[in-house]
Amino acid sequence: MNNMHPEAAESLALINRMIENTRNRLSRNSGRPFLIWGYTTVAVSLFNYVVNVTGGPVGWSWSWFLIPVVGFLLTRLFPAKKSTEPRTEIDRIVSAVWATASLALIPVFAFVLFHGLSYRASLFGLIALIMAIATTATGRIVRSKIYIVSGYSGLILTLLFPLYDRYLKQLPAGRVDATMLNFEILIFAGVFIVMMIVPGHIFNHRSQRHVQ
Amino acid sequence: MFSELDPLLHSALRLAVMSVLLGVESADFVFLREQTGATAGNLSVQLDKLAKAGYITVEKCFRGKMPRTVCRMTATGRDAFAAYVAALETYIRK
Repeated sequence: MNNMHPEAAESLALINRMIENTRNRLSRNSGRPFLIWGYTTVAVSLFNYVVNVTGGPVGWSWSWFLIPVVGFLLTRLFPAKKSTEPRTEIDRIVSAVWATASLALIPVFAFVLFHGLSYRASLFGLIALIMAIATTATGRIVRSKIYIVSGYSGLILTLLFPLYDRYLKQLPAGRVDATMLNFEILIFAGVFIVMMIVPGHIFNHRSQRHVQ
Repeated sequence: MFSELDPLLHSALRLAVMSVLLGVESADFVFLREQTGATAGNLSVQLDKLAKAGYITVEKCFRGKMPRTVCRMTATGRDAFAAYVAALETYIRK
C-alpha cells in the first residue's frame, strides 16, 4: 500500500476490498465456539447416557456441570480471535445474546428442579430450546444462512421432547419405567450435533476457504 | 459539478486504514499493518496525520508487558469518510 492518490473508481474498489478483507479475516475460526460447546455438550451427554443405561452411580450426574466448566476453559484456551484482532459491533451484540441465553439457564434450572408437584418440564428440552433461540438470533445478526438454518432446525428438533413424552404417556403403565427417559439425553445430543457441530464445521471450512 | 475530495482521505494508505477502522470498534497497529501491507514507519506517519485531523484516536497502552497502539475512528472521521464516499460517487456518475 502506498501514498499515491488513486482514481475515484480505484478508491471505491480499495474501500470495498479493505472492508471485505477485514470481514473475511475476522470471520476466520468464528465457528470455533460452536464446535467447542457442541462437542463438549455431546460428549458429556453421551457419557451420562452410558452411565445411566449401565446403571452407574447416581453421583455421576454431577458430571453435567462439566459442560460449562470445560466449555469455558476450552473457549479461553482456543479463542476464535487472536488478541491483536479487533472486535466488531456484531461481536459485541452476539456476545450479549449468548451471555443472556446462558444466564437464562439459571431460572430454567430452578423452574425444572423446584416447580411442579406432579409434572416437571424437560430440562433437556428447555436448554435445547434456549440454545436454539440464541443460535437463530446469532444467524440473523451475522446474516449467516448456516446458523439461521441450524438454529431453526434446533427449534424444530426440540419438538421431539414433547413428542417423545406424549409417546411415553400413551404406553401402557406397565411398560414405562424411568430408564426410558434416558432417551431424552440422546435427543439432546442429537439437537446439539445438528445445531452446533455441523454448522461450526461448515462455517470454519467456508471462512478458511475465503481467506485462502 | 464535482465535489471536492478530502485530500487527507484521498491517499491509498490512509483510505485503507479508514476502511478497516470503519468495520471495527478499534484496531491495533499490528492488525492495521497486516491488513494494509504497509511498512511500520509509513503506517505510523499516516496514522499521525489522521489523528491530527481528528479522524481517528491513537491510544498507547500495554497488554501485559507488551506495548500496544490502538486506533479508533472518531465521529468526525466517520462524517469525513461518508462525505468522501459521497464525493467519489459524483465522479463515478459523471
